[in-house]
Amino acid sequence: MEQILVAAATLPVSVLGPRAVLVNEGARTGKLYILKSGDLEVVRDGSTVAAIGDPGSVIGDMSALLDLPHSATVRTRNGAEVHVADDADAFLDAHPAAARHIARLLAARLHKTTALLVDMRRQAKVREDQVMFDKIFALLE
Amino acid sequence: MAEETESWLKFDFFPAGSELIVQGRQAGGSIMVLKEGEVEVLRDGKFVSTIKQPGAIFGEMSVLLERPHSATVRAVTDVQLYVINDALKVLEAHPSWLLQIARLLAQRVNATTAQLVALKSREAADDDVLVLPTNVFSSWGDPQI
Repeated sequence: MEQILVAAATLPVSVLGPRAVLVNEGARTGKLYILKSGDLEVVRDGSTVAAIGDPGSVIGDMSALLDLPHSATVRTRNGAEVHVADDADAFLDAHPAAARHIARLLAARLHKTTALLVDMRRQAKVREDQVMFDKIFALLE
Repeated sequence: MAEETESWLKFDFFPAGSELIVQGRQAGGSIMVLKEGEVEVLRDGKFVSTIKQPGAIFGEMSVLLERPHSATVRAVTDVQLYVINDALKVLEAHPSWLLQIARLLAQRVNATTAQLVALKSREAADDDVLVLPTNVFSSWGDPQI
Protein backbone atom coordinates (compact mmCIF):
# COMPACT_ATOMS: atom_id res chain seq x y z
CA MET A 1 0.00 0.00 0.00
CA GLU A 2 2.71 2.45 1.04
CA GLN A 3 4.71 2.11 -2.16
CA ILE A 4 1.75 2.96 -4.31
CA LEU A 5 0.99 6.00 -2.15
CA VAL A 6 4.56 7.22 -2.62
CA ALA A 7 4.18 6.90 -6.40
CA ALA A 8 0.67 8.40 -6.27
CA ALA A 9 1.99 11.48 -4.46
CA THR A 10 3.20 12.68 -7.88
CA LEU A 11 -0.40 12.72 -9.16
CA PRO A 12 -3.05 15.44 -8.85
CA VAL A 13 -5.65 14.98 -6.11
CA SER A 14 -9.37 15.19 -6.67
CA VAL A 15 -11.40 16.22 -3.61
CA LEU A 16 -14.92 14.80 -3.63
CA GLY A 17 -17.88 15.59 -1.39
CA PRO A 18 -20.44 13.13 -0.04
CA ARG A 19 -22.18 10.83 -2.55
CA ALA A 20 -20.00 12.05 -5.44
CA VAL A 21 -19.50 9.63 -8.35
CA LEU A 22 -15.87 8.77 -9.14
CA VAL A 23 -16.48 6.34 -12.00
CA ASN A 24 -19.67 5.32 -13.75
CA GLU A 25 -20.52 1.72 -14.58
CA GLY A 26 -20.19 1.24 -18.34
CA ALA A 27 -17.93 4.28 -18.88
CA ARG A 28 -14.44 3.89 -20.33
CA THR A 29 -12.02 6.44 -18.87
CA GLY A 30 -8.54 4.88 -19.13
CA LYS A 31 -7.87 6.54 -15.77
CA LEU A 32 -6.49 5.01 -12.64
CA TYR A 33 -7.56 6.20 -9.20
CA ILE A 34 -5.75 5.71 -5.90
CA LEU A 35 -7.59 6.46 -2.67
CA LYS A 36 -5.72 9.00 -0.51
CA SER A 37 -8.29 9.33 2.27
CA GLY A 38 -12.01 8.93 2.89
CA ASP A 39 -14.38 6.15 1.99
CA LEU A 40 -15.90 4.86 -1.22
CA GLU A 41 -18.58 2.38 -2.11
CA VAL A 42 -18.95 0.17 -5.16
CA VAL A 43 -22.41 0.02 -6.70
CA ARG A 44 -23.39 -2.54 -9.30
CA ASP A 45 -26.87 -2.67 -10.83
CA GLY A 46 -28.09 -0.33 -8.11
CA SER A 47 -26.80 -2.41 -5.17
CA THR A 48 -23.79 -1.60 -3.01
CA VAL A 49 -21.45 -4.57 -3.36
CA ALA A 50 -18.32 -3.41 -1.54
CA ALA A 51 -16.80 -0.64 0.55
CA ILE A 52 -13.32 0.79 -0.04
CA GLY A 53 -11.67 2.65 2.81
CA ASP A 54 -7.98 1.72 2.86
CA PRO A 55 -5.67 4.52 1.68
CA GLY A 56 -3.73 3.21 -1.34
CA SER A 57 -6.69 1.21 -2.68
CA VAL A 58 -6.62 1.14 -6.47
CA ILE A 59 -9.73 1.78 -8.56
CA GLY A 60 -10.01 1.30 -12.30
CA ASP A 61 -7.05 -1.05 -12.82
CA MET A 62 -8.95 -3.73 -14.74
CA SER A 63 -10.67 -1.18 -16.94
CA ALA A 64 -7.46 0.75 -17.67
CA LEU A 65 -5.27 -2.30 -18.33
CA LEU A 66 -7.78 -4.07 -20.55
CA ASP A 67 -9.30 -0.96 -22.13
CA LEU A 68 -12.75 -2.08 -20.97
CA PRO A 69 -15.67 -0.08 -19.57
CA HIS A 70 -15.84 0.13 -15.77
CA SER A 71 -17.77 -2.86 -14.42
CA ALA A 72 -19.29 -0.89 -11.54
CA THR A 73 -20.00 2.60 -10.29
CA VAL A 74 -17.78 3.92 -7.51
CA ARG A 75 -18.96 6.83 -5.39
CA THR A 76 -17.97 8.42 -2.11
CA ARG A 77 -19.86 7.84 1.10
CA ASN A 78 -18.94 10.83 3.23
CA GLY A 79 -16.32 12.24 0.90
CA ALA A 80 -12.83 11.32 -0.27
CA GLU A 81 -9.51 12.52 -1.63
CA VAL A 82 -8.40 10.53 -4.65
CA HIS A 83 -5.18 10.63 -6.69
CA VAL A 84 -6.01 10.56 -10.39
CA ALA A 85 -3.73 9.21 -13.14
CA ASP A 86 -5.25 10.45 -16.40
CA ASP A 87 -3.05 8.09 -18.38
CA ALA A 88 -2.79 4.85 -16.40
CA ASP A 89 -0.21 3.27 -18.74
CA ALA A 90 2.11 6.28 -18.59
CA PHE A 91 1.85 6.40 -14.79
CA LEU A 92 2.63 2.68 -14.37
CA ASP A 93 5.44 2.86 -16.92
CA ALA A 94 7.04 5.72 -14.98
CA HIS A 95 6.55 4.07 -11.57
CA PRO A 96 7.67 0.40 -11.56
CA ALA A 97 6.84 0.11 -7.84
CA ALA A 98 3.22 1.03 -8.58
CA ALA A 99 3.13 -1.40 -11.53
CA ARG A 100 4.54 -4.13 -9.29
CA HIS A 101 1.96 -3.35 -6.62
CA ILE A 102 -0.88 -3.64 -9.15
CA ALA A 103 0.60 -6.80 -10.68
CA ARG A 104 0.70 -8.25 -7.14
CA LEU A 105 -2.93 -7.30 -6.50
CA LEU A 106 -3.94 -8.93 -9.79
CA ALA A 107 -1.92 -12.05 -9.05
CA ALA A 108 -3.64 -12.36 -5.65
CA ARG A 109 -7.01 -11.86 -7.31
CA LEU A 110 -6.21 -14.50 -9.95
CA HIS A 111 -5.09 -16.89 -7.22
CA LYS A 112 -8.51 -16.48 -5.57
CA THR A 113 -10.60 -16.75 -8.75
CA THR A 114 -8.68 -19.82 -9.96
CA ALA A 115 -9.03 -21.56 -6.59
CA LEU A 116 -12.75 -20.81 -6.60
CA LEU A 117 -13.11 -22.02 -10.19
CA VAL A 118 -11.38 -25.34 -9.46
CA ASP A 119 -13.55 -25.77 -6.37
CA MET A 120 -16.77 -24.97 -8.23
CA ARG A 121 -15.85 -27.32 -11.09
CA ARG A 122 -15.25 -30.05 -8.52
CA GLN A 123 -18.64 -29.39 -6.91
CA ALA A 124 -20.33 -29.31 -10.33
CA LYS A 125 -18.80 -32.71 -11.14
CA VAL A 126 -20.09 -34.17 -7.87
CA ARG A 127 -23.55 -32.81 -8.65
CA GLU A 128 -23.46 -34.21 -12.19
CA ASP A 129 -22.54 -37.63 -10.80
CA GLN A 130 -25.42 -37.44 -8.31
CA VAL A 131 -27.89 -36.54 -11.07
CA MET A 132 -26.62 -39.46 -13.14
CA PHE A 133 -27.03 -41.87 -10.22
CA ASP A 134 -30.49 -40.50 -9.49
CA LYS A 135 -31.46 -41.21 -13.11
CA ILE A 136 -29.98 -44.72 -13.01
CA PHE A 137 -31.79 -45.57 -9.77
CA ALA A 138 -35.03 -44.04 -11.04
CA LEU A 139 -34.85 -46.47 -13.96
CA LEU A 140 -34.38 -49.38 -11.57
CA GLU A 141 -37.52 -48.62 -9.59
CA MET B 1 20.80 -28.60 -20.78
CA ALA B 2 20.33 -24.91 -19.98
CA GLU B 3 22.20 -22.43 -22.11
CA GLU B 4 23.33 -19.04 -20.75
CA THR B 5 22.67 -15.98 -22.89
CA GLU B 6 22.67 -13.11 -20.40
CA SER B 7 23.24 -13.45 -16.67
CA TRP B 8 19.49 -13.19 -15.95
CA LEU B 9 18.28 -15.03 -19.04
CA LYS B 10 18.81 -18.65 -20.01
CA PHE B 11 17.34 -21.00 -22.54
CA ASP B 12 15.95 -24.32 -21.32
CA PHE B 13 14.40 -27.49 -22.72
CA PHE B 14 11.91 -29.92 -21.15
CA PRO B 15 10.92 -33.25 -22.72
CA ALA B 16 7.22 -34.19 -23.05
CA GLY B 17 5.77 -35.41 -19.74
CA SER B 18 8.20 -33.55 -17.51
CA GLU B 19 7.14 -30.94 -14.97
CA LEU B 20 8.34 -27.37 -15.53
CA ILE B 21 6.74 -26.13 -12.33
CA VAL B 22 5.57 -28.19 -9.36
CA GLN B 23 2.64 -27.00 -7.23
CA GLY B 24 3.67 -26.25 -3.66
CA ARG B 25 7.37 -25.81 -4.45
CA GLN B 26 9.16 -22.52 -3.82
CA ALA B 27 9.50 -20.41 -6.95
CA GLY B 28 13.11 -19.34 -6.58
CA GLY B 29 12.34 -15.99 -8.20
CA SER B 30 12.30 -17.21 -11.82
CA ILE B 31 9.74 -16.63 -14.55
CA MET B 32 9.49 -18.84 -17.65
CA VAL B 33 8.52 -17.68 -21.12
CA LEU B 34 7.29 -20.30 -23.60
CA LYS B 35 9.21 -20.38 -26.87
CA GLU B 36 7.83 -23.53 -28.43
CA GLY B 37 5.68 -26.49 -27.40
CA GLU B 38 2.54 -27.17 -25.42
CA VAL B 39 2.03 -27.37 -21.66
CA GLU B 40 -0.90 -28.12 -19.40
CA VAL B 41 -1.72 -26.46 -16.08
CA LEU B 42 -2.92 -28.67 -13.23
CA ARG B 43 -4.15 -27.56 -9.86
CA ASP B 44 -4.55 -30.13 -7.08
CA GLY B 45 -4.08 -32.73 -9.81
CA LYS B 46 -7.06 -31.39 -11.79
CA PHE B 47 -6.67 -30.06 -15.32
CA VAL B 48 -7.07 -26.29 -15.55
CA SER B 49 -5.92 -25.33 -19.05
CA THR B 50 -3.60 -25.98 -21.98
CA ILE B 51 -1.10 -23.35 -23.14
CA LYS B 52 0.75 -23.38 -26.45
CA GLN B 53 0.96 -19.68 -27.32
CA PRO B 54 4.62 -18.67 -27.78
CA GLY B 55 5.36 -15.87 -25.31
CA ALA B 56 3.08 -17.31 -22.61
CA ILE B 57 4.47 -16.72 -19.14
CA PHE B 58 4.58 -19.11 -16.18
CA GLY B 59 5.69 -18.68 -12.62
CA GLU B 60 4.86 -14.98 -12.41
CA MET B 61 2.21 -15.57 -9.73
CA SER B 62 4.60 -17.06 -7.21
CA VAL B 63 7.31 -14.52 -8.00
CA LEU B 64 4.90 -11.61 -7.47
CA LEU B 65 3.24 -13.11 -4.41
CA GLU B 66 6.47 -14.58 -3.00
CA ARG B 67 4.74 -17.85 -2.24
CA PRO B 68 5.04 -21.44 -3.47
CA HIS B 69 3.72 -22.28 -6.94
CA SER B 70 -0.08 -22.46 -6.98
CA ALA B 71 -0.24 -24.95 -9.85
CA THR B 72 1.78 -27.58 -11.68
CA VAL B 73 2.83 -26.93 -15.29
CA ARG B 74 3.60 -30.08 -17.27
CA ALA B 75 5.03 -30.40 -20.78
CA VAL B 76 2.53 -32.06 -23.14
CA THR B 77 5.03 -31.98 -26.03
CA ASP B 78 8.76 -31.24 -25.95
CA VAL B 79 9.03 -27.66 -24.72
CA GLN B 80 11.59 -24.92 -25.28
CA LEU B 81 11.52 -21.87 -23.07
CA TYR B 82 13.39 -18.89 -21.69
CA VAL B 83 13.99 -18.60 -17.97
CA ILE B 84 14.27 -15.12 -16.45
CA ASN B 85 16.22 -15.36 -13.20
CA ASP B 86 15.75 -12.86 -10.39
CA ALA B 87 12.62 -11.87 -12.27
CA LEU B 88 11.32 -9.17 -9.94
CA LYS B 89 14.53 -7.16 -10.27
CA VAL B 90 14.61 -7.65 -14.04
CA LEU B 91 10.97 -6.58 -14.37
CA GLU B 92 11.49 -3.47 -12.28
CA ALA B 93 14.33 -2.51 -14.60
CA HIS B 94 11.92 -3.01 -17.55
CA PRO B 95 8.64 -1.33 -16.48
CA SER B 96 6.96 -2.00 -19.83
CA TRP B 97 7.41 -5.76 -19.28
CA LEU B 98 5.94 -5.41 -15.80
CA LEU B 99 2.99 -3.55 -17.27
CA GLN B 100 2.59 -6.30 -19.84
CA ILE B 101 2.49 -8.90 -17.06
CA ALA B 102 -0.10 -6.83 -15.17
CA ARG B 103 -2.19 -6.71 -18.35
CA LEU B 104 -1.83 -10.46 -18.81
CA LEU B 105 -2.92 -11.09 -15.22
CA ALA B 106 -5.89 -8.76 -15.68
CA GLN B 107 -6.91 -10.75 -18.79
CA ARG B 108 -6.67 -13.98 -16.82
CA VAL B 109 -8.70 -12.53 -13.94
CA ASN B 110 -11.32 -11.46 -16.46
CA ALA B 111 -11.41 -14.89 -18.10
CA THR B 112 -11.64 -16.85 -14.83
CA THR B 113 -14.28 -14.44 -13.51
CA ALA B 114 -16.35 -14.96 -16.69
CA GLN B 115 -16.06 -18.73 -16.27
CA LEU B 116 -17.11 -18.43 -12.62
CA VAL B 117 -20.13 -16.35 -13.54
CA ALA B 118 -21.07 -18.85 -16.29
CA LEU B 119 -20.72 -21.77 -13.89
CA LYS B 120 -22.72 -19.97 -11.23
CA SER B 121 -25.49 -19.14 -13.74
CA ARG B 122 -25.64 -22.76 -14.91
CA GLU B 123 -25.83 -23.91 -11.32
CA ALA B 124 -28.66 -21.48 -10.61
CA ALA B 125 -30.51 -22.68 -13.71
CA ASP B 126 -30.01 -26.31 -12.65
CA ASP B 127 -31.34 -25.60 -9.20
CA ASP B 128 -34.30 -23.69 -10.63
CA VAL B 129 -33.31 -20.68 -8.61
CA LEU B 130 -35.24 -17.67 -9.81
CA VAL B 131 -33.10 -14.90 -8.38
CA LEU B 132 -29.42 -14.77 -9.27
CA PRO B 133 -27.27 -12.57 -7.06
CA THR B 134 -26.36 -9.39 -8.91
CA ASN B 135 -22.75 -9.97 -8.03
CA VAL B 136 -21.50 -13.42 -7.17
CA PHE B 137 -18.43 -11.96 -5.60
CA SER B 138 -20.14 -9.41 -3.44
CA SER B 139 -18.81 -11.11 -0.34
CA TRP B 140 -15.22 -10.76 -1.48
CA GLY B 141 -14.83 -7.06 -0.98
CA ASP B 142 -12.93 -7.21 -4.27
CA PRO B 143 -14.90 -5.22 -6.78
CA GLN B 144 -12.65 -5.60 -9.88
CA ILE B 145 -13.51 -2.27 -11.41
